[in-house]
Amino acid sequence: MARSTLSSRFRRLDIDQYDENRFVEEPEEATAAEPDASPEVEALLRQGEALRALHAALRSAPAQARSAALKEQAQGTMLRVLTSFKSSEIEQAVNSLDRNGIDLLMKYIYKGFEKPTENSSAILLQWHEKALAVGGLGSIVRVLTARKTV
Amino acid sequence: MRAGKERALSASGPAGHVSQQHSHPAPSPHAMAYHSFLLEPISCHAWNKDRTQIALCPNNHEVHIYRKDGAKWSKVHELKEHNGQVTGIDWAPESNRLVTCGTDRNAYVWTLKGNVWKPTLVILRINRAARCVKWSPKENKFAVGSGSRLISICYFEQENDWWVCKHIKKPIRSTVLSLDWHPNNVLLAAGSCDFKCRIFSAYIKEVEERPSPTPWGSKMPFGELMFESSSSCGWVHSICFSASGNRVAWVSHDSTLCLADANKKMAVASLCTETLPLLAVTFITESSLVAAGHDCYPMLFTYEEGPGTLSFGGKLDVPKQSSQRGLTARERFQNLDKKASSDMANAALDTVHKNSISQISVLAGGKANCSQFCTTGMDGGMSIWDVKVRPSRAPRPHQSLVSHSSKRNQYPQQSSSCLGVPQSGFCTAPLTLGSKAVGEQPLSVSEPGVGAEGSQNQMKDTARRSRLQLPLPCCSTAALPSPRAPGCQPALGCSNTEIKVVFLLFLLPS
Repeated sequence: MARSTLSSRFRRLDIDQYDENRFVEEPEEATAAEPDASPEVEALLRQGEALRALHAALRSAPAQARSAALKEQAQGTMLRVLTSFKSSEIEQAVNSLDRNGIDLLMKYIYKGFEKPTENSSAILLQWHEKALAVGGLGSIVRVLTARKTV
Repeated sequence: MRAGKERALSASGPAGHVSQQHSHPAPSPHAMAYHSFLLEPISCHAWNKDRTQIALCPNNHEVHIYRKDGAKWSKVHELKEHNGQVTGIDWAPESNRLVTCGTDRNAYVWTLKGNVWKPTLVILRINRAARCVKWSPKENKFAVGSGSRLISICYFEQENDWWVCKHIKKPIRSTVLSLDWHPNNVLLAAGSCDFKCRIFSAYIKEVEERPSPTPWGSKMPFGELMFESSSSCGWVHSICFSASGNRVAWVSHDSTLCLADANKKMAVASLCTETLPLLAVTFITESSLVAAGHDCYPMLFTYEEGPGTLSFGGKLDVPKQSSQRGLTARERFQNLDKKASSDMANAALDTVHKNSISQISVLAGGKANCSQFCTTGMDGGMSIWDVKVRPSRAPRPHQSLVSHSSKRNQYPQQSSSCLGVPQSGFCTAPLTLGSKAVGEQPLSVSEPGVGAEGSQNQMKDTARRSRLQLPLPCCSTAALPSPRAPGCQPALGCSNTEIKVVFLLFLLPS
């Protein structure tokens, strides 16, 4: 019979970790914990200052941080900011960003697409269209090739 | 073979038509046209010294050499020795030797004996495919980048009458995709898949003297790392030294173009482009670059030395066809029905190359003052582009520019003749595309369906779109040859003159 009756524990072994030529990322220096800016962002949102909230959220983006929880939180904050914009204001907000801001915004947009909530995708698509008009396909390529994800 | 080529020419549609129409029967070896060699990608290509022959790999294990016969290209040699796809070809101009490398982990040096190319195997001692190969400027050694995460520097050992290689391994951590030599024959720039660009010393004491210090460093033992970029986030597809060797530029897969300037303590200027990733880059003057990639058109970039910034200079492939043809009502409804959009852009590429451009080579003028470059791509075609540098008399921006003549020997005086172009925005001189082809017909006449007015609008449009400005590179004027036009102020120390680069593309309307 072809059926193997031996242990199949070997299938759970990751042999790539034993490859001596494995590409290991350079160890990042642990940056100081980013001050959490979400209270500030929330405050700005409550006041209706959506544009400034966006800038604040982008500034405090934890690109260097390793902890997933921090990134989750930042992503949640960002999503709240993005959904609080009216459709007509999106274009103006996008135009106020510089090149790095557009790239970071694109990363958050795609991160938001990964976990769609009820009407988040619709507003994210509008953001995507406007950001694409400014950033071009290059900004999407940078989302795909980025090694430090938001 | 000939029939196959003709089929390829006619099958490529307007581009093929274009190449037949204005191929150039004059004594100069260049064809001002797009030529479709194959229906498959051209893996790599190399030109001989006088640009009459091109060696290319037609996406298989062979290398084909084509020679220009008047208006046509005819295949003169087939080099069959590799057992795997040929990934790199380089043609040494002075010694007339070819070096090829392939996925079969081998490299061959080919010498022409009589009318036959004879290969010599070079043992590279690699266990993965070779990816790129480059002769050094003095042609006494060559470098091969491979998937074995090392660079093989090969030189000829006279005593044993064979090619020997030495390896540069540390600290490369992934496939080496691209190589370029510094003019001093010792420094080698390597771009690799570990997201970094590095400059190594490839000094071989058996074949050369100790090199003198350069802005990249003064101690250059073999394998010494002179410069390493910080990680960008993409594989480095192509890398190029400037003509003086003081600058190195590279393009990587995250749609960025970076330039490191040794005179500024190796400061790196980078530009995030809005296009798809670029695959090939070359310097055309000390401060300007041409790059091309998955967007299928070459584009110009300029480097400002003062602030140390890179900027996008414009798309170089501006089709002459006006897109203002206008849709009929029927077409509009069809578009709405089929594509749910009423905009007029059609889905066909209006660039010369119909697929990604994978390699750019400088044909004339060197990297200091390139007057012509060539692109090959994954559509199996090769296109030759003219570069015209036009110093402006006054330091004010010109309205627009324009074209040209295809005769190469007009360059020395072309600048003054181009300056005679009226500022109103279009060229009244007839476009001469070939010495006999369209010389008599100004574009406005030959374009069907568009009246003189239409052509004016279109000229203005393209002229506007193709206006390109280059800053005069003041500090590196040692490398920049003085402009040829009379009445131009000397380049040294003068920042008032502007240099504009005019790019031409001729696409006759079909």
